[in-house]
Amino acid sequence: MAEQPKRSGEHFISQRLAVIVIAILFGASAAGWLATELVPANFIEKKGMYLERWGAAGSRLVELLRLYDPFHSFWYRAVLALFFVVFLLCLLTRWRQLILKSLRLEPPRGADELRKNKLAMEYTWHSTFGGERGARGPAIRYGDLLGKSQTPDPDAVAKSFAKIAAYLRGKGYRAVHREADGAIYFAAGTGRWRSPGNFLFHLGILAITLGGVVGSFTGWKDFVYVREGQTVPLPPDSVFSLRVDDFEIMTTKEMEVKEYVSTVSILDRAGARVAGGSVQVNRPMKFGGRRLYQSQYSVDETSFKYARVDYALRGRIRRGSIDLTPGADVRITGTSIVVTPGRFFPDFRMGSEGPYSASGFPSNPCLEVAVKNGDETERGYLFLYHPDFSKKFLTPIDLVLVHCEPIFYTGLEVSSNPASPILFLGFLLGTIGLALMYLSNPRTIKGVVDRETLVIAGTECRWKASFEKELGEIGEGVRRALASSKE
Amino acid sequence: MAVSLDTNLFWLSFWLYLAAFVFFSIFAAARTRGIGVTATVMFLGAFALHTAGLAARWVISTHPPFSTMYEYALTMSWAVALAFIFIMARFRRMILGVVVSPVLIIVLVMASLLPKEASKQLMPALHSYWFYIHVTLAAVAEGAFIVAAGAGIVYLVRRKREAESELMPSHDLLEEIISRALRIGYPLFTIGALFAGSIWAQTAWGSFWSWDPKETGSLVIWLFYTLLLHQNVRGRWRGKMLAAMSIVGFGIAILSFLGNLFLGGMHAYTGA
Repeated sequence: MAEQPKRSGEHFISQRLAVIVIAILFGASAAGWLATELVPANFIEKKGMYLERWGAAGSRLVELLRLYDPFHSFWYRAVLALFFVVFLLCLLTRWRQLILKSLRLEPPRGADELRKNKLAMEYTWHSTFGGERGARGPAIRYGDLLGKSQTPDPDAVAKSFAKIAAYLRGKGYRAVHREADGAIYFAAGTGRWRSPGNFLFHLGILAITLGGVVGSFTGWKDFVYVREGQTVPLPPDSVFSLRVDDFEIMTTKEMEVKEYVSTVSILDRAGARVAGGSVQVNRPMKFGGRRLYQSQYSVDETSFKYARVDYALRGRIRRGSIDLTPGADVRITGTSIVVTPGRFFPDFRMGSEGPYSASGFPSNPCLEVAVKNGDETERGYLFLYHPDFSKKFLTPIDLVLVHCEPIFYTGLEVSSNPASPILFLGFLLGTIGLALMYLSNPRTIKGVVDRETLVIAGTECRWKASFEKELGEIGEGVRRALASSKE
Repeated sequence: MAVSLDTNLFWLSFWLYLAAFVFFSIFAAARTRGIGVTATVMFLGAFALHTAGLAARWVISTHPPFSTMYEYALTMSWAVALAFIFIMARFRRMILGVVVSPVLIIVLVMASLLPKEASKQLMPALHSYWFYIHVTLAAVAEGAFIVAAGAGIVYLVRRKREAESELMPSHDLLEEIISRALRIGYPLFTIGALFAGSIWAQTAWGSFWSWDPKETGSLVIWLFYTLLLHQNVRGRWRGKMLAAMSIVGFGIAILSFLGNLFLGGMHAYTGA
């Protein structure tokens, strides 16, 4: 639809400006998107390296425009602020127009206004119907049916309109009309929920933008890494404490992580439990305006909770098991052999600088042990999943690691976003608005009936090709409806 | 590693889509109705195999086929094929197949290059009904954007070859197809990719928006189509411009889709 001429004050909040602002935001977002790929996030930490690589001017530009974190830069925030202000002004000044546009139906001022429309059809009582309009729409010559240039029935106009209105109602069109100079001017529309939907959608986007702004100023986020049994202060203050009672990782047979769950207790200053529950991914726990999220987990890569080692003494019929805990020597009963646990590697790898853990996940647990027999001490590695690779000691003892429980740390995110209700309201309004907008297909037909002619024109539609087809069917329907009034 | 049933079905559907494209091309050149019907039947057959392949994948992996980029590409291309069948049934224009089928083949070629292993185990973050809402709506929306781009190509080709376009749909009809596809894609993308995605991110990661590369890509796509629809409503981007811009939009959507392969971020797991 072409834009209406604007009053002088409306230029600042015109659709054109809205489009320009959307284009600017699009450009800024695309530039930021590109920047995040081109400029590493660790630019500030490794500034020296990039200074060498990009030169002083390049590095200065990156720093000035904050291209390593463009979406928190002054220029992107300025664009967001511009978008928000224009959007807000646009909604404040145009809300009535936005809501009522498709709800309001106004009959035409005259037939000539309709005849200018491309989708116009003219039905005439005249037996001859020439001129330009005749060549265009599917003209129905009632003159041919009635044999007269003008309907002889003085009530024909009202009767005709009643027939047309009834027919259009059957097609889902709501009709309004006014009478003037013996003619009836009418407008019929359908899909009228489009405008309220449009308004709700815009309102929803505004609420989401507002929620984003409010959230960025009032929201906070913190992380705590806690091992089982440990108690730490619960962010943001130390009024409450968080204790992890249990942390469990569930895996498949292939050792793929299925789920990880922390069972936590919230304690008050006196240490009394005031709340508790389990926290897992997609199932956060709420407490006092905060939300606790199961964010990640890690394994202590230096120590372990407990390990069990089976031993067999070579040359003697003696087998048994010993339980090892960090730093504690264990003497094999009836011998002088002492086993001391050393470093623990949850995911053992041998690198050029010695052994290391490739990840925090216990994919290949390995325990270093020292075996002391008298004055001689041997060191070696015991592997949980690959016992054949375990150390064969000169001391007459074979050791097999049969169980090793790592120390898991659960990573919990504690956050609060007071703007969440605004955002959820925005999502709700936006979804309802979109549903109303796109499930309704607004079409408007306007017409004039007088004692000589009936002019119908399609004045508003979303899809011209389909509307043209529909209008043709409506023309045929109207013709039939009017023909039936003749009988 | 043995090739599973779903992969076999995928390849069969791929070759049949390719054959359909060849026949659609011959139909466009020869304008023989029989060839057009043959191409359409082949396309329908390919779609049936494609559907069966997705169903098999679902059964094998024990979850809906959206969790990897390969599965996402299959679902998205399935949405494109379904939209094309719907348009063909609605507007009776087999000629659109000459453009839609190669676009579909491009998406399937991309899918064929991705790892196809089906994992029975979804990572913990994906254990949410938001996952299904988010990914399904985004895939269907991107499918609709692809259809809009396909119709846009036909529109532009028709302009250049006006004289030999008796078989081609009219400009008005093509514009309507583009417009309808955009108006299906836009709300689904907004609700699915942005709204549902944000709500899910809040539930799983504790924040509605993290400026993750994939999130930013979605925002860029959304802003572009917002711009396009505003310009269209204003009466500015109509006809040729609408067609051209729907192709540009498709390009941005593909860039975001492929971005998963190299951009990393919180959505990086879908690359596997």
